[in-house]
Amino acid sequence: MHEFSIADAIIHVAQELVQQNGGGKVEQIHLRIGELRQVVPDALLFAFDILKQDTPLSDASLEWETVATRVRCKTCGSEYHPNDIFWECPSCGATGAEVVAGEELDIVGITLVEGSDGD
Amino acid sequence: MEIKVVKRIMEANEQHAEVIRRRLREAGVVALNLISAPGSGKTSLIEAAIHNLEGRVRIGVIEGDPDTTRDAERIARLDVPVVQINTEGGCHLEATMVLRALEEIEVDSLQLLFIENVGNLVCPVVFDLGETYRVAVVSAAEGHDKPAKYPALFRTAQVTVLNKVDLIPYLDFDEEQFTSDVRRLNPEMPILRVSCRTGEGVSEWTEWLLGRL
Repeated sequence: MHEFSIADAIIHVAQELVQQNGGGKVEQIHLRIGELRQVVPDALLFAFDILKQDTPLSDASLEWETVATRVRCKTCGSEYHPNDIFWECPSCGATGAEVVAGEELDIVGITLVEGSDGD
Repeated sequence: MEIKVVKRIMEANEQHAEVIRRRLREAGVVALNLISAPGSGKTSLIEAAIHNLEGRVRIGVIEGDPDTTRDAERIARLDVPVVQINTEGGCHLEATMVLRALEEIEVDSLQLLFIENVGNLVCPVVFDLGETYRVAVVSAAEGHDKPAKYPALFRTAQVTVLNKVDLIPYLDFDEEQFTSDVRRLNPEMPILRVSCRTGEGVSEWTEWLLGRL
């Protein structure tokens, strides 16, 4: 259940961002989560809903796009979406590729409730 | 209104891991993050290394467990500086916890620091602790399918220790399958066969450690 740590970090980072942008009430937090981060959606939502209570994000919901894993073959250099756990290269059959995408864990946007910003 | 940003969620952990890495580098300390399921023998591997390297390498240990100081007590008996982190139910160590623990150890007096993570093959993999090397530990009794079922650990580790090899004759452990899965997940990674109970392979384990210093 590392999702609790991730939810906790989301709340901290999101609060910081809202403050830096003049405050306001958060409606939704937009995330980008790579497949390799092993985040279980239900576990993240469960953790977030518990931890957001009594914070300025108590009415906020989470929304995210999943970033598919992409790797680069160390032998022949081709880039591909792996189809098995060994990340076998479809071009040359080698394994042990390096990650190009899939480790993202970012906040990419925050929607504030209309008229709630501090200005 | 939408605020558009790109902000890394794990930034705090990453920053603390970087502070740890820098601190260890300055002190000339090599740190190992031991990750495994509960009961695979991480503490025994650390004890074996302490015995074998006594008088040769100055070792410190950070022990991570949800509860009790039992592991730290085992290590303290060997006259080695040790700090116990209790995560109180938490399923992994984070860089912030390790950073706090480092304040209680004389880092400058060490050459080798073991960080024993909480027993868990999933969550610890996600958190950089600022370690120099990541060690995957599997005991034969857990079954040969662990690398295939928990590939992320084996992709990101620099060495795999297969512990309790003395039990293999009594188990349905397919070592060929285990080795082939680990090799396909991480072709260059060495696999060390060890039994802390019989002492088999312990010298290879300590040789591997000496090679990192």
